Amino acid sequence: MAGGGGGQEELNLVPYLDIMVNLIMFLITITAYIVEMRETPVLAPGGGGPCQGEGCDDKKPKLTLTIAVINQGIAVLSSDASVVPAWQQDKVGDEYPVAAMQAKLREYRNSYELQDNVMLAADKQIPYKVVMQVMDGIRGDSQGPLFAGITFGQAR
Amino acid sequence: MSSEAQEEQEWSEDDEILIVRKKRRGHKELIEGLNLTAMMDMMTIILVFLIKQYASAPDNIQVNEVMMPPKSAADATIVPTISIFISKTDIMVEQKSVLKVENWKIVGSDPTKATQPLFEALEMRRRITEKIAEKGGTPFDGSVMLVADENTPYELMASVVQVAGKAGFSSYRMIVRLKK
Repeated sequence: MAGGGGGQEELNLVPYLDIMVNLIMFLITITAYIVEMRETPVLAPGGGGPCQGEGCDDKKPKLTLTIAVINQGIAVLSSDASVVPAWQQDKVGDEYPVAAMQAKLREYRNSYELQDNVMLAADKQIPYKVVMQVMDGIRGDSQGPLFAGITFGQAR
Repeated sequence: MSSEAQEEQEWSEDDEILIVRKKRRGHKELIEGLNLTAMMDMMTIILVFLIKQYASAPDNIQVNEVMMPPKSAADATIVPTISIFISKTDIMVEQKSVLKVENWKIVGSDPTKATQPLFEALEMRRRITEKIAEKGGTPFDGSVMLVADENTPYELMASVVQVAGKAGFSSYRMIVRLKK
């Protein structure tokens, strides 16, 4: 009799298994194309000001560096140019002199009493990827960390 | 050993072989189709694991032609918070478009009030988060996640950061692609 419940017929699992295999293959494939993301902190404007509060020597305030990414290249300026000389290097083609900037920042870090935070400013049309490249350079070089905090400044 | 006993032993050996053969034949008949239940279990476990892993990733940020964050050596894992997206076409707060962007300029008739919708959206998000914190939720730490395309000009980045600062956000986390 059609539709009778006499026989104990098993479910046909083959189509279900096909779907499962396809789904697993799809998920494994897209996992390979997922871009790994990370985050990097930036301080609010004003966060790179003079050192205040506990642990800061008020009698001898530390100097603040400003790194400017300009259309011509990179410039490093200090809050007191008579103590820390300004530095600038032009870019070669489209390549910004990040390695040279790192070498200069390492030299300044070893020679002067500087704050851990630096101010970063850039020309209006400088792309974000260049800013990020410079930020990576400010944070550290092959010898170790350079400056922990970066404050986003106004566009020039 | 007598010839009769020897014959009997040979017969019994032959019987044993026959029995084994019959058993084998019987077994073969029993497993006509593959037993897929175990394989199904395995597949289901793998599928659930993959779906859970994919869905629970906090850094599940869509990367496409209009939104390609820059590469960086930063290694801090993403902590989800209020997000601002700057793409070639829109500025979005929590996946909702608040401003239109054309040629990396904010579209608006009055340039002085162009960023007002962004300010209002961020302020509203801050108020909601503060209310949730008052009711015992996660405390508001003033942080905002900034996801921007790698070609975004610094002027636009800085103006968005400035607006976020005015709306009460003091800590910015720039989302980047991991440089391998």
